Amino acid sequence: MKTAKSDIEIIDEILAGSKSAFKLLYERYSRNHFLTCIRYVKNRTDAEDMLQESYIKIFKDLKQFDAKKANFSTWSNRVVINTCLMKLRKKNVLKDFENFMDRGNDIKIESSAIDNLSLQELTNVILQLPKGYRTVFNLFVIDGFSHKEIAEKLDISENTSKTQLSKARKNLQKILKPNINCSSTDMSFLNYAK
Amino acid sequence: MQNDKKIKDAFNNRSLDNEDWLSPPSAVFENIEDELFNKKKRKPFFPLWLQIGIFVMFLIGLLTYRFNTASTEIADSSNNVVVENKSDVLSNINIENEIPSSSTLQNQKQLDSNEEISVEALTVNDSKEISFNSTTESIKNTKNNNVESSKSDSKIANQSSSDKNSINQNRSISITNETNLGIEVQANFANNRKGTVSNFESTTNINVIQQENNNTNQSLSTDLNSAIFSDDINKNNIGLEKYNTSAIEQLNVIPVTLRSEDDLEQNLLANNNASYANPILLKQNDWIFTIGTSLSFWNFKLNENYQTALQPADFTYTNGKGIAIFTGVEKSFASSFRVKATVGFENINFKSGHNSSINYNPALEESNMSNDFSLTMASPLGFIESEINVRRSDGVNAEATDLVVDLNNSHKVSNFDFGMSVLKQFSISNRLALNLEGGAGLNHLISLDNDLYKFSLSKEGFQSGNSSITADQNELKKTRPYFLIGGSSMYKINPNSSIGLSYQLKQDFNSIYQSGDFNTLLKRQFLILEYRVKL
Repeated sequence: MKTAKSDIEIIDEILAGSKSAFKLLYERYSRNHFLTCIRYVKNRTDAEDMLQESYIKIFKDLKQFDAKKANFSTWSNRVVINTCLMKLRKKNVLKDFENFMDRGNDIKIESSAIDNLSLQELTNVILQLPKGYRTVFNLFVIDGFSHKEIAEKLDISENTSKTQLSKARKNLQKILKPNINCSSTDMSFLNYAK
Repeated sequence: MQNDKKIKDAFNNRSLDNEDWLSPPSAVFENIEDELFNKKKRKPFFPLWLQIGIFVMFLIGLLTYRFNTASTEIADSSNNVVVENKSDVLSNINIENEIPSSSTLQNQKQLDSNEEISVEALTVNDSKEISFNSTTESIKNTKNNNVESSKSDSKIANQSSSDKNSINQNRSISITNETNLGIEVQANFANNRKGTVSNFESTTNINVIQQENNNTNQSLSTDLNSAIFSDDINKNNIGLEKYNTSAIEQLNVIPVTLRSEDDLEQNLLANNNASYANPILLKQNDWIFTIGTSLSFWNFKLNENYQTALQPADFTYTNGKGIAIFTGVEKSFASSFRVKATVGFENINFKSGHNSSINYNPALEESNMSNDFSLTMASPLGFIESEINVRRSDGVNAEATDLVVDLNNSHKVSNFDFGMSVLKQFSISNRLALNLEGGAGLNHLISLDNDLYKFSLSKEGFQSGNSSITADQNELKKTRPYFLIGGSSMYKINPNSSIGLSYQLKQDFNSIYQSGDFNTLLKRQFLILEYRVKL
């Protein structure tokens, strides 16, 4: 039985000029990267553009990839995130940290609520966060950046990053609360179903 | 925190094999492939300043070249004709013609005797003399001049031939009038056209009345008809060489008497076969390429409801100003009508501003003494969402305070324009023409960038902090049809090109912004400097 090629093998083939290897790499990671794009830019069309732009960058920067420092998944995901942030920066939304302080008291959510959500539903919940909060939340919670790194990427202070994360969490709870009693999250918000 | 971990795991550790909704469309990879492997690199988009710079440099270069190479025009009174002739069989020549030329003429004519004659300029005047002048600009002949030939022809011609480029003094030859000539020949000087006479700036007509030579077997008519006339504009030369008799068919033989350059053009225009290479006075089916740069002015007309609604906020705005570039083609379909198609690109800037009321609440302050406000701002093209940060000074009481914010926005618009129009021409002179223009087209808003470049607060102790636009206008009609009217003047700088100054008014049919009872109509005005060249 033929075993699947490793990322390194595929990358070597790409660097040797194999177009089919590049397609293989794309097929392997495009869903992960597309999900990342959706999380950041929300709009599906924009996400497709970001995915396209990201893979062009990945291909062009592939020589710089060092397998000793990080695995391809992590490295390529950083490229995708940076591409998305660049897009958000162009749209001037990185400072769009909307104030939802007046929405009421904190709502505690049972952690089991998240377990019951599908990935698509969870994605849509996150996408309901205001852009600024969502960006910080994505960077910190899902993509594992520190507040210092976030502050540098978004050109904000660490305190602001922390504040925005806190607000994001509160908003997330508010968004999740009505869904707890429902069988699923309202999908009409964004039509991601294919 | 527990939720954070679950969310992180959900996105990072779950298998996506069954998440078909995450499959990007195949077009994405096709585009990537095209970008990386198939297509050539996209040409970089030239910035507008570079495009304009290139155009201006091109225009300057062209004008400099033209002014440096064009020779001075000679008054009608200096009727010089360039002839190179050593033929002793050349008998009677009657040339009735005025040839406008901005160049020195140098004709070469080779007859059967294989003798070559070179003369810088030939004038046939009332005293029946043909004279040479290398600085001659035009040829004017009198009708039925009998030119006497003499042996001096050869001498003169030989001198000319040996020194074609340096003859400056006037010379004359006389040719004996031996016969009566009866054929009038008009040789159309068309550029690069064998068998016709080309000249003097690419295309001009020379008209020669030639009479049959009864006494000799050779005549000028034969030689003219069998000659190749070619010109070299850059060198201001005209070469006249012997050519086989089949070329005779290519000559237009019509009787014509011309007295001036104006007469010549009028006559030529009356003759469908005539071609006077003038982008202003076009013959049918000529194609003209145009390129131009323009000052562009946008006038926003807000409807009454919109103005009334914004009035309490002291809404103000400036009309748009910017620059545009245009290029296009024209085709004539009648002597004075043309159809024109143009595409253009505009960069426009304008400003708007108004006041907004906010309530600063120290209770909402966080680590720093500031409040964030989400504001909706008005512009001539609709509403913009923004976020501003207002800081409170230490000395200000920690009480809720009403503030008035003076918001100032700048807007930058890129617009694409495609138009078609019909032009009716009114000739003022040989070089100047006026046009009236009417047409229609489409314009498309490519981009609109908003910038909250300044906001100030009404009370001391509060300062403006960061600001950002969070949402642009979203109810714009990006593609709109328009009609245009305009007028232009064109000045011929050489037979193949002209420059023009145009004014155009373009009025959109539809509102550029429409939301409920609010709308804004756009009227655009252009002042265009245009260069036109015949293709």
